[in-house]
Amino acid sequence: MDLNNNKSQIQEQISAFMDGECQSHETSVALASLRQEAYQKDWEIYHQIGDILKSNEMGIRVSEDFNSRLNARLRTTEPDPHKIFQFLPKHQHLRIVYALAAMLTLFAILIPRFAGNDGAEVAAPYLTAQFTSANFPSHSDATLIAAGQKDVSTRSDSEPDMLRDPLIDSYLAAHQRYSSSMVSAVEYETGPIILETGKR
Amino acid sequence: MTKERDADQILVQCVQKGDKQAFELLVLKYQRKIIRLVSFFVKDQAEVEDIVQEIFIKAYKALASFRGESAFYTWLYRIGVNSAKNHIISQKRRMITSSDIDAREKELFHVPVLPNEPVTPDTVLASKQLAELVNEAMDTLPDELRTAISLREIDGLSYEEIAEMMDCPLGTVRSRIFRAREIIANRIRPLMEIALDKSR
Repeated sequence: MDLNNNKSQIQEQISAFMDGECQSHETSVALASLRQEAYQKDWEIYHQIGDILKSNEMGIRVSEDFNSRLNARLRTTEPDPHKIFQFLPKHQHLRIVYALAAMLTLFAILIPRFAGNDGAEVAAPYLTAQFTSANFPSHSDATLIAAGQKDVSTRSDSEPDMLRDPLIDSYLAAHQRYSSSMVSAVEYETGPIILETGKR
Repeated sequence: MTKERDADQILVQCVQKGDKQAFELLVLKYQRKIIRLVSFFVKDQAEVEDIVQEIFIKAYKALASFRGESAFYTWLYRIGVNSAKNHIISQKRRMITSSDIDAREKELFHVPVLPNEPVTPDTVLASKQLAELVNEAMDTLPDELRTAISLREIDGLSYEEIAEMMDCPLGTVRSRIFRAREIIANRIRPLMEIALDKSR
């Protein structure tokens, strides 16, 4: 009877220890008890109960030789005081370096092309081509031109005004300006796109 | 929650002083969580266990450098994720082939493949049975025991908070939680013993 009481008392200490609720003088008793296999089983089962109560998927069974194999390996393994765990895989560093190098190369090629007046000349036809190919209703050709092309005007007075919500223009302008695409970046450099209606 | 971290910290300190058995207790505590984590990346149960063994060995070797700035489990989890990813990279060719086969099987037989489910029917059954037994045992607990263990395991409250909520002394909370664990443990011990015998 005393043995059972003693066992229960130790199990209760282990239960409290796993919750971090042991009195300081009990901690060493619990730790000493946990050197015995029977109490290690209790420790494992109590934790498994907690895991399952948190999630039904945690009823995971570990094969019996898992712990004996691991413990055998641990016996022959020594801690390495100089080992600091690297959380990036080895080749991940190389990937970052390659990605940065690729970005720098891209910028080195693109920035001189789009910088200054020459840039506007290069960019404007590109923009025009992009927007004219977008099939806007009733204005399939040359509905949009870039501000950089001052002498290009495709609108004739005889053409009817486009019927649309006036808010659309500001929406489109904002979309062009804040879009992350290369086209918008170029447009931002070369000035706002002017819609044919001239309302912007 | 913080107090549970304290228990881990005590065990980590013991390991750092050379106590290997304290590390075995950490393994018993976290092996299911790490198995589940690795199962998200790798389907083969035997392979999963091998990877988990490596994770614990790596953690043991590097534990000397663990300063406790994060929770032990956070640190272990990161080692786990990195090890699983590295394993996939090293086995990439084989993984691609097997996933192709899985995809074809799915097309042919319309069998849903759950990536985090253990593979063999025996382990699935045992896991489900275990979860069912725990939940059944919870239902049979007297109210005060069920409330105490729920507040601890599911809500993560400290004994002090539970004592306040249940309007009872701290010692009573400790005792109720232990008794609840023991009642549930007694229900699942036979199943665990059968599983152990099978694996031998």
